[in-house]
Amino acid sequence: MHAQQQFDAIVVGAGPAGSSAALVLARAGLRVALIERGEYPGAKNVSGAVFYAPGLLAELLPSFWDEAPFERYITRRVLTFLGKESAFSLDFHTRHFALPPYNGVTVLRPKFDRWLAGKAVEAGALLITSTVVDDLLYEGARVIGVQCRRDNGALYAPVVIAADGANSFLAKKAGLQREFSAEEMSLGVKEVLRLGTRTIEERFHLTGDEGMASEYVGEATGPIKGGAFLYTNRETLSLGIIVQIASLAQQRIRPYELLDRFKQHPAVAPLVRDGLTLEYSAHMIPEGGWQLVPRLARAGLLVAGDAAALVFAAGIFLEGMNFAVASGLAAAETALEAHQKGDFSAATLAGYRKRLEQSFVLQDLQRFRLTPAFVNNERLQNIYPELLCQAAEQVFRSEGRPRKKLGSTILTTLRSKVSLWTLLRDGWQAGRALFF
Amino acid sequence: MRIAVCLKQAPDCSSVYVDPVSGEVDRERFVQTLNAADACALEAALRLKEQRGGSLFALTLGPDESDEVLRVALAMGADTVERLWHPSAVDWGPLTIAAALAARLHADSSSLPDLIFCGEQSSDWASGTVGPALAAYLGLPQITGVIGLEALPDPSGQLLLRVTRRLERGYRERLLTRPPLLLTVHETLNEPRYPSLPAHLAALQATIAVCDPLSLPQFAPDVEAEEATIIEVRIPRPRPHRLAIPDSQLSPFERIGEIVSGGTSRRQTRLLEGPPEELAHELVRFLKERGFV
Repeated sequence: MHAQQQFDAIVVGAGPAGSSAALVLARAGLRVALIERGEYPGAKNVSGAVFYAPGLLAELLPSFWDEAPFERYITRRVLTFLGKESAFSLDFHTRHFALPPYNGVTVLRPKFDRWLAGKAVEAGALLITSTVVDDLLYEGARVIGVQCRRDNGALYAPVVIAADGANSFLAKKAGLQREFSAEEMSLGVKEVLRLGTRTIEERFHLTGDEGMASEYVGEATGPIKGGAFLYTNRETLSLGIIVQIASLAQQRIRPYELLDRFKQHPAVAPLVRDGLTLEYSAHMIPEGGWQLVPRLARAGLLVAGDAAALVFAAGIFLEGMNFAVASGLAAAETALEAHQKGDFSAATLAGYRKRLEQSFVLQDLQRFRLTPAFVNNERLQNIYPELLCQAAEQVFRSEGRPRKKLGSTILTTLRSKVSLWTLLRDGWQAGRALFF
Repeated sequence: MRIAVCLKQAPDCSSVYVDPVSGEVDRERFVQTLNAADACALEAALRLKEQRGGSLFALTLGPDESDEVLRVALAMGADTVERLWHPSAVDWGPLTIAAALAARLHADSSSLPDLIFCGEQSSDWASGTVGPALAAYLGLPQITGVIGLEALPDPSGQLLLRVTRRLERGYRERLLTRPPLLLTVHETLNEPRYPSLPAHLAALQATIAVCDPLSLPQFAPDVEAEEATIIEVRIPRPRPHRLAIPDSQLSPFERIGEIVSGGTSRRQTRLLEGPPEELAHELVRFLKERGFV
């Protein structure tokens, strides 16, 4: 074995989880290999992308707010229920999110991931791009390195952090993750549209670097389970749909047709008018929540980010990058502890899970563990948004006739499609999933 | 045998976005890589080196980031690499760049390399000038647009190369040649290799030698002498599509035929009939007549 192929730690995948982990490890003086299959970090990565709680990185990188290539900070959150011809929105705007530490920022992943990996390289990590990791190397039951898809492609380290993304082959090969079911995985299809800074600020009522994160349910994805999003970048829009793969297969609709349909919806079309498509991308998202989180460690191996299904897709929350960063940091801290002890056994590395249990990462996933099933409820997806729009229409309709009181107008509309009993049951479920 | 390859870092074409209205290029989206034709030049040089022995020197002119292309060269198998750079070089045109490269190659030792490889043109400006200008500065013969390269066995033991050049309109030219000479290589010549992991790692960690071209004795940049001044850059208008208006005198069937054929003169076809041997002879004669074989 060449000394050159021996490292103190190997991180697979230079996304937010991997680069954060490599940054911490390299800063502590370890020899770190950060392996990325793309030509550059971010080349293969797809995300909405809103990075919530970016302050996580500001603690590590003091110059973060001045330097990081984020597009706009989110001060406006919109949730829209789409009917066939109508839309019902909750629109929230606050100046409190307009000061650092920002609550959320939009990023373009090819830029942001490259920048973050650059920070890890500055700290001393060795970034190895255009290199696919095919397998893990073992000594007994202990992981001692990775096998790359190049000649003589073995690399060795006492601890490997697998941050290799949504469909993590490493977590599966190590026997930590089971096969996914099609109900647990979603497909995100996304476009970046160029509109120009002025048009974006006028169209979305934004000033300066303010941005908007807008999410849609209902008619956004037709009969398919899922939702849509529209985020503002500096001079472009990121918009896309996220649909459950099982439902997609069942209905036999092509994802890009859905995206087109979403863009043509009367409530969306004026927002994207004249947008010029710059990028088109698609990626799997592990949206199974708590029950999809695998075993997170075994001797010599830790799993972080999407690879560990640490995606918080709970109705009004759609977060992933902050979970990736936090898990990457926790994995790095665990690896450092193992190095100090000189012990890379499963018992030491189990500290990783404890760290995540103490942080928002596993707590949020566990607390909202009922939400994915609730969000994928047939009625919530396809009936309530339309009913809500109809009810609003009934309320606002003026026909020169005597009005009923609002309560009875709304109840009549709702009960036209759903029984009172179902309504109560769904209300109870919503409460259990999100409120108490 | 000593071989030198001149490389350039250029934008990966798939990452380039040009605004169709303003014609401006979005520089933030650029991904810089080793220029595709240069990668083929490097691969061709490596194959010759492996066949015939010798050493390979890779050279580039560019800012710090250009180290990446030299790392690629090292990983693929170059023996030595060097980067030329001076801040004033951002304004240099192809002739000045060629002069700097020539000065560097002259400075090396008493003699020039036996073979010098360049990419035919880069993906950004595609002037195709640096290679030929370098040959001129070095006083070497040159072959441009190489799409085929083969080392032939030669009884004298000297290197004999069979080179195929790409000409206009699909013509090809085949040449026999001996070093010293400069070749500029088209990006279809070969498939550049994918380096092994140890070579890739070693290249990533190598220190890259940097040389200030202004310190070279035989180099004095004369930016004024650049013959070309860029006045305007714009996206070419698509060629107007000529519509053939069919002759209304003709029958509908013939009019459709005219529309379908785009109004060009009718294709001349000849149907041959007979036994296979005769047909083959006819075919060969036809191809020879038209200069295809």
